[in-house]
Amino acid sequence: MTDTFTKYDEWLKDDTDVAALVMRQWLEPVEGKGAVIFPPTYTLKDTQREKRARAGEETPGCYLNSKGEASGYNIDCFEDGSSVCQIDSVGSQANRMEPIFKRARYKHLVPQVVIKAGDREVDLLDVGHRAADAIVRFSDLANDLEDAFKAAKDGDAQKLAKIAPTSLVFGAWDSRATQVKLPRIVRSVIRAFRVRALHRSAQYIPAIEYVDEGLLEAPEGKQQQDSMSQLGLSHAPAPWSHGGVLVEQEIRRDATLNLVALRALAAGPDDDPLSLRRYIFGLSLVAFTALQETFLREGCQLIPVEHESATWHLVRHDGRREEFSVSHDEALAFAQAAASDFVVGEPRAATFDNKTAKAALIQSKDERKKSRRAKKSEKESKS
Amino acid sequence: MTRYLCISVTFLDVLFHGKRDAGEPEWPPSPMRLFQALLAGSRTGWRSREWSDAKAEAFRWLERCDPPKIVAPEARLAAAYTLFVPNNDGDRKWDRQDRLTSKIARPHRLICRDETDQSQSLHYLWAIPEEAWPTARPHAQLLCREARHLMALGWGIDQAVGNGRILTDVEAAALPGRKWRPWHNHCPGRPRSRVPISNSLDDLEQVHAKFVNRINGRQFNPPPKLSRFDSVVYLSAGALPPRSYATFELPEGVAFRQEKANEVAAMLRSLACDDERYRNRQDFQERFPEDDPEIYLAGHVNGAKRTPPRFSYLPLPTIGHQYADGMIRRVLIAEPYGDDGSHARWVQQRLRNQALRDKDKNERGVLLALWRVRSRAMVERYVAENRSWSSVTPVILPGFDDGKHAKADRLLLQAIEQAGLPLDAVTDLTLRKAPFWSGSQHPRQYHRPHYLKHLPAWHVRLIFREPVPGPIAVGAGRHCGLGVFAVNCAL
Repeated sequence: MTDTFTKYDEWLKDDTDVAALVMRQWLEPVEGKGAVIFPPTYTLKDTQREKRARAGEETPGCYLNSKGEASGYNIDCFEDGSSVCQIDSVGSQANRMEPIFKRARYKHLVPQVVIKAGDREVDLLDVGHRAADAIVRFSDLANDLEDAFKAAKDGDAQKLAKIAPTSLVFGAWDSRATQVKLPRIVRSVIRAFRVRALHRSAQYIPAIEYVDEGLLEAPEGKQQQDSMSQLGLSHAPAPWSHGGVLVEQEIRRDATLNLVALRALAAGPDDDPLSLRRYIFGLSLVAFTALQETFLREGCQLIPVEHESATWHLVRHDGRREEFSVSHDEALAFAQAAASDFVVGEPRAATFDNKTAKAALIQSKDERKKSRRAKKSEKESKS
Repeated sequence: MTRYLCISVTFLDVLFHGKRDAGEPEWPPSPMRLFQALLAGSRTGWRSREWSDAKAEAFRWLERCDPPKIVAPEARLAAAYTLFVPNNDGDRKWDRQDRLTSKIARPHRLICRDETDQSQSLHYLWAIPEEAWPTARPHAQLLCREARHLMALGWGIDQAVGNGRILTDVEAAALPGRKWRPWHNHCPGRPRSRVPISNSLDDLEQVHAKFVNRINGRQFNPPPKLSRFDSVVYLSAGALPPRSYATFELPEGVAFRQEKANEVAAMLRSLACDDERYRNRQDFQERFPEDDPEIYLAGHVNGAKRTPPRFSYLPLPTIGHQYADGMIRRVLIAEPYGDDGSHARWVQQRLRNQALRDKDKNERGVLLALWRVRSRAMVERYVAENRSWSSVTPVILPGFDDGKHAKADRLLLQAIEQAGLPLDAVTDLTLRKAPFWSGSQHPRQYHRPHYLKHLPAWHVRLIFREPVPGPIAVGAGRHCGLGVFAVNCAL
């Protein structure tokens, strides 16, 4: 137990040479290698790719709609024919990793905080801005979190770790109040290498031909025809649109655990920071190694490649990399030991305080004027 | 012996999202960005308790140093895309979709040499002369330790690890990567990088304090922007030094046929040398007493083998798309490579709003600042850094080619050298009579002064090993409107 507990202590002390852990994990579509997957789609309005697409140039992954507006995948193409496509962004990966601490196997590692807002219940682990989110900053946890963020600003992350430790793991910015910024410790992204963007066409066919059956009159003009298509009363073609990508090389998840950011965490000035750092490190390792949600979006379900284990490297401050390995069971064992030593915060049930929120919404006339003037001079100084 | 304080930053991922002023993607990351990242690392979390006068003095010493050299991995601009993230006002708008705000990402992608090359490190080098070492040493050593607290460089997602060392000359020269050096001289049109100066640290602290306190109850007080920094151009160390220049545009309705490029150049030169109406020559003599206006302005070099420093007068025909008419609406006056930009600045200020006159003294057009919306982009075609260039006006070879291609090639190489371009920088060249650009003509159509009339002329395409900055003009007419090149395509 002691060995499990202290095995990473050298990395958590301030004079260590180890700066980060990086992991690579190879993934494939659940349908098998070579299946088409659907990356996230972004608007490409007003970008060079949209201009090139409108000019008729080849722009892989960029699709024009009927109005000539572009959207598509985030694909970089290079002169040697290689290409890289973003499959899941840093922010999206963080939002997928954090909720694993709701699973039965891991929930005891973090305090479970649920906020009741009207008829809804929201888990803090699902909330976009984490411990800084408005839903929780206007709850009856507000004062505790205010204290916790202020303490973090002064170098003591202990209080925040007792309420919302995953905010330390994935980063947060208390933009509504203290302005404290917590750098992320864990970062993950999924990319596909050497891709071919595809198109697909589809056509909605109505259940019956309403016009031919005499149930509706024939449309007069394009506008009526479009309205009928929108309502499902006529054919609606969707030609030559986003069709996913074919991955010719590999799909890879690259994750980093920034030990420098982790070592910036401490408890009170007279307290040993190791317990806190072990705890957060344990949570980070679990987040890294746990089986991720495979379903990223419709048409994109990715699983680890069988017989191809993830690779791990230590990165030292001088850039040198060394191989190292940790299994999920080892990570979990460490995290449990660390959590036990740290003493995980109590579960909390909070209530969204709509009176506080409404009071913030109602401003005095003077305060509104002041605010408007301040915003105006900010705009003027920018231009 | 010169020592170097070397702060190295190793990126943990291949993307860098940092932007320079005006929101343009930045590479390499500016020294001011590094300064801010070092400071952030030194004052994040519990480390803010450890901040001391000694650390502050070290940062103040660093901000007073000259801008560092940078050794950086190669990087290419990646595709731009728009990110949508929800605003943190879920108390007002419950639905996430109702509170999305957009942000455009346009990162640089670091180029890995191969799969095993995962270390994407860049290095910042401050030279410390021997005599300065005793006072500099404690600051440099402290900064080496503080560098290890760096967490990110660029956006928050651009995680990185830092390291600091003191290097010798030999060790610094051996660092892998593309070398960049700061260039302080006048360099219009080039992107600039922020560098710290005296009081940058104090300014950062003030701005940060205002940012942290920007919300006071229900009142928002916008924080000020940083103001204590300088900006310099960073040039790739192997690249040619830039060529400073001045640009002008003619009024609406005034344009010259491209075949008259030499005549336009002559009018421009005549204006620069004017000693009656505008007294430009006299003013030049007062401003630059060490330069002979007969040589620098008028180009009377009296048959000197090596051309002494002088202006090149370069009309810029409109090119670049299938409907471009090749007419001359803009002109450029360039200094020699590596000059300090003072002459270009003088002529830019002096000649603006002065009128070009032909040999019969008729006014032919007033020189204005660039006024068309597309003018900056058009001038960029002639001055941007690129590997592939094609002649717009034909190159006059400095000798007779006797109708032989091989001899023409040799003469062209001679002309390239005479133009100040290193021969070993050229990897490929093409000579032909047919023009490369819409609006350009066969070489025989172009007007030439009598002393160039009988020399052979060709259109030329050049490919360089490394990107070369413009403006480029080659050949015996390179100072008077002939042999002007434009960027062929993005390479």
